[in-house]
Formats: sequence, C-alpha cells, structure tokens
Amino acid sequence: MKVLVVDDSKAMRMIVTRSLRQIGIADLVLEEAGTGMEAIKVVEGFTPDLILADWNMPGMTGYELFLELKAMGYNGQYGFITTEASEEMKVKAAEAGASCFVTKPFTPEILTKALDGMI
Amino acid sequence: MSEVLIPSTKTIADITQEVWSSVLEDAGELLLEAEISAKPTIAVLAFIEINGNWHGSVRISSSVRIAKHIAAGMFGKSASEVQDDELSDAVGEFTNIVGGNIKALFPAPCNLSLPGVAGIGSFKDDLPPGLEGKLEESLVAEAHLIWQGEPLIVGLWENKQ
Repeated sequence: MKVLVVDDSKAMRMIVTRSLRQIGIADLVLEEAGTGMEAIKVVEGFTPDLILADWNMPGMTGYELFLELKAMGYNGQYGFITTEASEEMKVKAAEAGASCFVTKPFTPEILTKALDGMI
Repeated sequence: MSEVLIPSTKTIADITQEVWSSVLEDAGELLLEAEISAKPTIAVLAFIEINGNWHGSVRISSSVRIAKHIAAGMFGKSASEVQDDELSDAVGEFTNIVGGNIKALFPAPCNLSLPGVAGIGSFKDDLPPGLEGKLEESLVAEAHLIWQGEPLIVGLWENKQ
C-alpha cells in the first residue's frame, strides 16, 4: 500500500510514519511532503492509495490540498491527522469525501481503528 | 456572548501529560507540581494563538534539556543527536497539539494559528523575540510540570482587547 504523509512538521511526519509501520500495513511504501505544493508534486509520480494530511499548514491547508487533488483527478483515500478537531471541520472533511479524521495526539491503536477498511 | 469558561490548571496539565505520553517515545513521567517557588530561567518558549469566541495564546516554556527530550522522543533519536531545527520543529508541533486540545475546550468557532518558537536562548524577565506584540495578554491559567527536576510551564494567556 502506498501512503503519502503530509505535514509541515518533520517531527509529526516521523510520528505518523512510525505509527503506520507499527500497525503492520502490508507492502507499505511511504512518501512524505512538508507542504501542499510538495504533496501535489509527489502525487504526480507516486500515485498513493492513501494520503494522510495535516489540516493546518502554511500556504495550502490540508483541506485545500484535498480539493485541489480531487480537481486533478486523484481518487484514492484521503484522511486528516490534525489538532483541528471541531465538529465543523469534521463535517467539512466528511462532506468533501475524506475517509478518516484523526485527532492529535493519537496512538497506533487509534490510527488502526481510523484506517479500518482502508488497509 | 456568555462568559467563556477558562480551562483549569489541572485540565491544562492533564492535556499536556496526555500529549507528552502519546507523542514521545520513552517519555518518562511528567509530574504536576503545585508550586514553583522561584520562576526558573526558561530557555525555550513556543506559542500558538487561539482566535474566535476566545482570544489569546498558549505558551509553553521549558529548559533546553526538556526541549531536547521532546525532540528526541518525537524523532526517535537520542537527545545528543537533536539538531536545532529539529528542536524548533518538535517543540512547535508539541505546542500545536497541546494548543489544539486546549482550543477544543472553548466554544466554537475558534481558530488556531500556526505555532511559533519565540526563543531558544536564556531569558528570565524579558519577553523573547516573537512575543513583543503580546504585551496586552494576561495570564489566566498556568500549569507547572516537572520532568527529572526541570520545569515545563504551560500558560494560557488571554487577550481581552
């Protein structure tokens, strides 16, 4: 499974990728991006099955990235891992077609549950 | 608008402890300390703003040793291997997560800024670079935590203007 992790914090990308390895996804191939623009470039060559993105990032938010990727034809799974846990944002993410919404901090168990059906 | 309930010191401490335990590998125990008799010299200060139905900021200050422990725990390396940019990134993200969870306690809508790391250096009485514009904020709650005898202080500052 090809997964792209998008977060402006290198430390958080490290935590997410570590958690993904811990939960034992079969044939896991990981890529990272630190900004929305960088993610768009990665997607063009990597075609991920799943993108896990932060919401609150400088430049382009994770939500804006999702809309942009959908407009470009990306049809894989997309989820948010974010501190932005308001109901309004969860609804907005779900309406846009997001597959999961994980609130920081999270454990590998929480991530496993959130990714149920996708991995 | 009805009066906003300010999170208690214990709630702030609980959130910080939960974030500490969740994001750091081999975090060790972080204890709530009732009183810090003398304000310690703080070397790293990070902050994040909350704006909406409540206005203010969450500021986390600590010793360099704690900041390096946070970075080491997040990056999965030893404290001696932590680079300055990694320390800033990790402390900023730690503050982002604590701030986001505190923000969730205020009535929506509230927005969170990107985190800033205002100072890495030794300062005690003066505001470090990056916080000069926050003189109008007043402290409304402050959790004092210690790890291996060193302080980590989480302050909630309100801007009533």
